[in-house]
Amino acid sequence: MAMDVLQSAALNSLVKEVLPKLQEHLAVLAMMTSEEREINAETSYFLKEALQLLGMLSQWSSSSIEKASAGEAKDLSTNQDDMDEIGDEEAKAMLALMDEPAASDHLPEKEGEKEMSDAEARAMLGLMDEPISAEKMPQLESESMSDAEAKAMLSLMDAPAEKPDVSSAAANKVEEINDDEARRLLALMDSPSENLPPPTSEDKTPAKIKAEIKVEIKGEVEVEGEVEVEDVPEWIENEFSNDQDMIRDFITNTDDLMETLDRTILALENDPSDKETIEEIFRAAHTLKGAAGMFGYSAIEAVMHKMENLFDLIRKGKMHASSEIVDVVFQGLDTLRILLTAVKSQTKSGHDIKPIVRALINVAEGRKANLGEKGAESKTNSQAKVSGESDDAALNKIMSALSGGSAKAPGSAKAEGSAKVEAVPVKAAEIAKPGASKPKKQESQKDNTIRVDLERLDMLVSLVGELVTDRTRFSVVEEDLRSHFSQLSLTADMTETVQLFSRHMNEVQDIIMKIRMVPIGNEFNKFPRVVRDLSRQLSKKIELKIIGEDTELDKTLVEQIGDPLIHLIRNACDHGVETPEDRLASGKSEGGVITLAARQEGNNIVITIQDDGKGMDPQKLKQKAIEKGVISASQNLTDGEIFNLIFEAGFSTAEKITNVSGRGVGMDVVRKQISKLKGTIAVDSTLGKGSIITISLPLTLAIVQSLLIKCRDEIYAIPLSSVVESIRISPKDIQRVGDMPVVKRMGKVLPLVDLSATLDLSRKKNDFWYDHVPRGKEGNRRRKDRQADRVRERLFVVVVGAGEKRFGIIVDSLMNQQEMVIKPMGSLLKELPCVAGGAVLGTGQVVLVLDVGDLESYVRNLQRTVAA
Amino acid sequence: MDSFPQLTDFQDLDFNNSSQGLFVIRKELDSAKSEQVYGDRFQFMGFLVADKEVLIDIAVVNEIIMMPPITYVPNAHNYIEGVINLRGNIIPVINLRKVMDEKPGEITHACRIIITKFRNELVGMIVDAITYVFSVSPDDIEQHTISLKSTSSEILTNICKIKDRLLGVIEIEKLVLKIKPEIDVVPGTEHAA
Repeated sequence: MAMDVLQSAALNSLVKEVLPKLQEHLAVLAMMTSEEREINAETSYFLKEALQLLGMLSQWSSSSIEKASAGEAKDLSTNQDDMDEIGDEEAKAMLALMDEPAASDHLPEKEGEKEMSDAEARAMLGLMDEPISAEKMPQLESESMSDAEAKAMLSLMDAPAEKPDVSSAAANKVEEINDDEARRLLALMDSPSENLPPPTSEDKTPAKIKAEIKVEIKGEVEVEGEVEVEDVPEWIENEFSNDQDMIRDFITNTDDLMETLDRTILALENDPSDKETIEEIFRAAHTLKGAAGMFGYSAIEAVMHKMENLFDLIRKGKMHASSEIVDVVFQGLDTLRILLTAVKSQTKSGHDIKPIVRALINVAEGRKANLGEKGAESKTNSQAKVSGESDDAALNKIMSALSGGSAKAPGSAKAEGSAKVEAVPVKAAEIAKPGASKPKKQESQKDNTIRVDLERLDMLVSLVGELVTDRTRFSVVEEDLRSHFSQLSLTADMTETVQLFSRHMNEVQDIIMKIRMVPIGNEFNKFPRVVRDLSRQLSKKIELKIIGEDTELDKTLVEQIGDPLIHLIRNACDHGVETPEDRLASGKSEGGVITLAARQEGNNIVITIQDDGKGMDPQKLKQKAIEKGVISASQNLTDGEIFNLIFEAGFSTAEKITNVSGRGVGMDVVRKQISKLKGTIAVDSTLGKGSIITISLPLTLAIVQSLLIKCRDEIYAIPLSSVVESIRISPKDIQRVGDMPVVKRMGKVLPLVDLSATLDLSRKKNDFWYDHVPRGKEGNRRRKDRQADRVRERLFVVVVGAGEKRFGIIVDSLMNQQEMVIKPMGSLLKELPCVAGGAVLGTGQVVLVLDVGDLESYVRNLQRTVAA
Repeated sequence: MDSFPQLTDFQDLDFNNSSQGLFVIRKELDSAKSEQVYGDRFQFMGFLVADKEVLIDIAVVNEIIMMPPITYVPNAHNYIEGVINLRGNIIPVINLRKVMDEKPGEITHACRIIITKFRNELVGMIVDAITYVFSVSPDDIEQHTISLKSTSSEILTNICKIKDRLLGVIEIEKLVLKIKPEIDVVPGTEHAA
């Protein structure tokens, strides 16, 4: 955002040299009577200079304008006192000039494209003056104008919106009269002077004045048009809002900031006196507001601004962070989230920010939040005092008025600016000045990290996935080479290279996987808020304990685990923890505790959600399950199995449906989501003591360690995360319970699934016409087949599952373990039973990855038929 | 096109003879790149399924590959032969012989897989041979009205007149929808009916 040297020089010379000179000359001209008046060469030189510089200004990036103009405007306003009367007016005009480009970002955009013609310069000048009410103009100038002209002008004044196009015609007219630039400019400079008698009005060419006024009107119409579409337009396009990289940065930054806000505001509620927390909140709010303003997201900015005011009051000790205030603030954050999501998707949300802005204002003034529509209407209207204006415009004004009034934070320099009733974005420009917050923020982020776009990272990960495949391919080639040309020194070289390559590849893979890992705490931090809101809503006392938030998990997993976890936590709050009375009655402490813990177990992450509530009654559950037809009455289930029935579709034990939970879709959706992440979920409970839900997830989704197995000459892969062990059994050990084969193992009954039967592999003979077997390897294969037959005397069983649910898959033979990247197989092969996807082996062969969850439901169905 | 040998009896064609088979076609395919030569004429590629010649709009053909090893996918739709590895991507291939109610055939050296694009997804089709690229004027294309064998008539939409023969044009979209009708359903409307 560094200002171009050229531009800053231009601004400097414009403000410090050309304009004061011009001002002098114009002042002299103004003193003269009309007969004396004559433009000398010097005046026109400065005029030209000014116009040129204005042209350069118009090509500025809005950021430098924001920064510089606000700064220069400030300088000007401090110098203001030294100037004479006319100078004063000019300074004002200039101040307006400085403010205006920042306020209406559309201006530099529009004009930057063309070279600036005189007419455009005038248009810009006209825009500069816009804040001053245009209605005063005719009165000022009418004396000097012919009656007809004055009338025309008045009619224009009356219907500004209808005739914006007239201005172009007028502008053309002006073009013809080239000699009188000074006077025109003079008129422009003077026009804002509401309080002063017009000193130079006598000899202005009416046509010119008209043109100027029209230009002014045009400018105003533009601005109002934009405001009318949305209250505070959700965002205004500017150069930044088209820069995808910048927006991405903005989004990542705001995500962080929102998280910080969430966390710190909760902390504030617990300890309202903590100065550091409130400072942190204030900084985050301020940074967010500034950034939003820079991108032209005025709705976000408006909400944020109100919040900042509120935080400022709290910071200064003028207000106490009560629960009610925190509630409103959280609602504000929710609104912001909606708006930010809209920014992410690049489509406006159309969300109405008025209620929340009103509520924030109300709270800031010590009244009830009253989030309803009526709210602060009476007060705001009286403050606005702008009759005949649309609601939104009024709101803008109220907000800017308030920013000047109730919050003293923005500093005295802005008092003038906001008093002028400007559009909201102006404040953005002022606040975007490098405030105290930014350097501090950088200081706190001193640790050696960089932000990387997730998309790039994903690309890298998928490339590494390909390399992993290549590595196995290399190994295959090397092995071939070694077995055929073992005497060649080249082979030895190859072997060595491949080994080295493999080692390096392993390291690369390790690192790349670690890069994708983020602490699960990022997701966990959302939950205190959820629990807080729920406990207030349910009038229970619930404390959330978080353990192991440093546990690292793949980024995509962390993102996707959030929803199921929220659901489970809501359930724990609603069904698990009892009301304080019940708790006291059963001899527990008044407040319930929900413990959310994460830990790593081998290649899995285990997340547990434990509550100390009333627990589940297996008998009641079973009753419900029978009622709902989930199980049959004759089925004999262990308590553990009964508890896990809550994950069945259409099962809900809540007596009444609250808006928190109880619709009976939740738990099976949760299980679906978890199994989509290749994880498992189980629940255990003790009546009266509480329940515990255990989720087990693989560390990463990108590259999966798999066990390759063979079944009827087809190779399949089983994700190692769900493999418990592999055993060999003798066929005679297999017993049958109904149709279901089982084997007794360590005192437990292990259901078995014959993979070839489950997958209907016998159909392959008929269905598979193009079995491509290279001729040379035919014999080789036959031999292996015979081997497989021999091995069949002892069956290979891969035991899969987690927790209570375990079952064995009967396969022909075990091959090896391999890392592979699971790839989708296209929509034609979606939702295939028992197949999760495909993967490419080192040999280039495609293998199918089995869906253990699907196999499990297959087993369950089998169990049900057995029981029935 | 007259300079190319006119194939009338495919049984006699020696696909392993390069002067007759693929090279001829490649050349034709290459020349098809410059469309302006053909003006507003449509271009179709002919291929054989068993001994029947069928056309496909070259606009939907991504590439043509030799037969790679195919992995059998259990419980998939009958028409789907399996999946192949196309430069690291796994794509399904359709057995056109099954679609056209033909008998199983051997893998010959002329067998190819036509990779087509369907809604940004690649789908392969196993064919017994590629014949020509034909350039057809719009006048010679008719909406399909003749009822052929039941299955094929659903996926052949247009009839092209090439010389004195009438050839059907296979519509990949129809074929895919026949295998997976729910693909066509716009999410959210499935319960409306």
